[in-house]
Amino acid sequence: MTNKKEPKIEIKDLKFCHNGKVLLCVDYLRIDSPGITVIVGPNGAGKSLLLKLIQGIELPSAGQIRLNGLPISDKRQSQSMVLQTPILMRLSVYQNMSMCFERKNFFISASEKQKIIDILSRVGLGKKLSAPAKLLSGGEKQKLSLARSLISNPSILLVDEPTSTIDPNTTMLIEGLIKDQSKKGTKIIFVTHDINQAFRLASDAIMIYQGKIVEQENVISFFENPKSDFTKNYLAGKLLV
Amino acid sequence: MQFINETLSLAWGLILGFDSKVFEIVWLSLKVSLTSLILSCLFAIPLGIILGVYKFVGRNFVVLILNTLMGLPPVVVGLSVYLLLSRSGPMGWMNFLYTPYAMIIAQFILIFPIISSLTCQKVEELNSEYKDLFVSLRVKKTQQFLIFFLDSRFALLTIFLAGFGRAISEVGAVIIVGGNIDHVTRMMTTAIAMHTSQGDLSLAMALGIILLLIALTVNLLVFSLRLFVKRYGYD
Amino acid sequence: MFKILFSTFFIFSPLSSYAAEIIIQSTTSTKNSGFYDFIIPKVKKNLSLDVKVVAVGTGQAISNAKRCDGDVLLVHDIEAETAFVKEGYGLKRYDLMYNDFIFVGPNHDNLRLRNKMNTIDVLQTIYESKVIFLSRSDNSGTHNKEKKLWELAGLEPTKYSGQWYLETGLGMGATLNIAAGKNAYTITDRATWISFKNKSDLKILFDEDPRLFNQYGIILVNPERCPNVNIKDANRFLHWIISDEGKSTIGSFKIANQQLFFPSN
Repeated sequence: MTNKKEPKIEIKDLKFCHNGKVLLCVDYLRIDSPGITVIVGPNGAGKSLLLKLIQGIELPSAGQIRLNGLPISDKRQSQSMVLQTPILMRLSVYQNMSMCFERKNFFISASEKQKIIDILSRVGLGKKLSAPAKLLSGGEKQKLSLARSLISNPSILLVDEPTSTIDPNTTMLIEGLIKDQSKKGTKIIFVTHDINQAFRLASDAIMIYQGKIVEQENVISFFENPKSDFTKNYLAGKLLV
Repeated sequence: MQFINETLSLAWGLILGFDSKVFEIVWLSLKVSLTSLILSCLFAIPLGIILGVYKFVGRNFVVLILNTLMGLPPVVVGLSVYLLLSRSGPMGWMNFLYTPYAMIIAQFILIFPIISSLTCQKVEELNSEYKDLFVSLRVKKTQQFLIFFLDSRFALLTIFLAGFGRAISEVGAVIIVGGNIDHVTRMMTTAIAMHTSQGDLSLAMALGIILLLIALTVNLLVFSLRLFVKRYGYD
Repeated sequence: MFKILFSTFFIFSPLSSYAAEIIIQSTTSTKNSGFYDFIIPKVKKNLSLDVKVVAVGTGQAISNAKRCDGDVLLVHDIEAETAFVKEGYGLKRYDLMYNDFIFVGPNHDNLRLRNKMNTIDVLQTIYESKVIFLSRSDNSGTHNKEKKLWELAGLEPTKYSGQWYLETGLGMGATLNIAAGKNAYTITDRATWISFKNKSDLKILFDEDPRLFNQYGIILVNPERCPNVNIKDANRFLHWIISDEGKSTIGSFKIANQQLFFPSN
């Protein structure tokens, strides 16, 4: 999967319609940079939808999406997504990890088990292995959800506003974890509507508005010298949607 | 009033005195019902999960048939199994008629649609809840199967007990295929029917009370299980 | 420990009991009266033979036996029994034992059935006064007897079905329960009546008429028709029960000092 020539994410003529309305329309998008790409935009712009289309949760009405040069349904793909609201199973914290984990054999080996425990300790859930996942706090749930996505060490990680309802401490911790993962070589697409968060994380940024891509730039020119008027206004906080 | 007193003291006497005949009947009832229940769960739960997850051609038809069979009158099941197992029937060579095995087969047919149908409903619910999760983590189908089984374990236990309730209280089918033979196929329900027809209403009612107590115990288990499940967020 | 528990749980008695066993398709009256509870231990002792009894109405017992689901037929409907043998389903028919039918009804006896001379008078009185009469209507021996008696009296009560002539379609015990509840009249065999416990206000109002004779017959299921029958043990059972020893055993069965069945000669 380390085919250097192929773009990491390539989208062509993508369209998503629902009830006759075009909700998202991307003529061409290519993401090639390593590091963290942040997608910003006001609520309802289509950020989450774009992410869901890239993951395959929603299917496009038209167009195609290729990751590392392969269609998203290809078995060799290793991308993973952190959902905005975590979906946890009626199992313990540890089982929530182990059940989704792509193990080699039917039974989990000792080293695989250690890997799960290590990653849970890293997100601060090391002491709650046998706690029922549904009884965790909001922040803990999101950390568990993130840990679940990180365990498979994906080549692309899609993150959908994980911190929108979470306290600042946990937000910092989650941002730290995502930066660490990025350093390990995982390409990260991070959706947020929080400009400060975008600034803290991004190596490059994409602006979406009304289902269209308005701007795609590296972080310095995006924040200091935006090309479109919309981005200028949004960054200045002038835009009310 | 006299009848009630008589019945209650008789029931009490049967339970406390550990009446060997009553014990034999209760024991056989439990054996037959639990065996048929375990057998049907073995097949019905995987079928329910498959029907709940996969949308294959003919799936809706199977679900429709199972839902219809849920309301199957026990007498019809009893009659069909009788014709099947009768010595002049297609499976007569097995010599199962008027044995506990015949009753297990009849109960199996009665419980199977209930278990698979309820499991299917539960798994459909879970599937719509976890659909996005499975795609977001690219969880394999085989692993999803395991997740459905584990995640719904408490719901499955409730379904299991619903099947048990149907099995233990059923009379129409087992009396036809079992024949209510003393020491061989006499169960609680068939004994109740027999004593009623002998006009021995207080003994019939006393046995009914024992049956009721078993049902009560089972329901108490379900109830406490529900409390436990709620407390740990597993509901 | 678990293994032992498991194995005892899933082993059922037929596998662990005598290999030699026969199935009797029987009427309910013999079973409900406790006749078999009395006879079976004696058969076991004398012949080392397990007897399984399926008690249903005579009509159903005969149809079960026609499907080969029994080795011995023990019922009380001589015409149906003769036909059963004639059609080749059974071997020779033997008279086994007898008792009689009785009319039961509310104790007040407003119709003065107790004073009637014969069965025909009783039926005529019931017919004319239109009191509630319960018919089993289940093709049993008792039901066929009842039909024959109405025929003998030249009456057609079925015209009034649902009015005062009620057809229950149930067994004798269930029909007696309804009679007790409705204070109605019905006809029953004496064995069922004596062993029936829910009599309420019902009493015997008429009996002891030769027309009310109740004959039980015994037939072996034909092994040529039904190769699966256990003819060897069925034969042993038959010859024991029609022997002098078997007959005296039948005669010694009593409830509350009343003899329920009288062995035939």
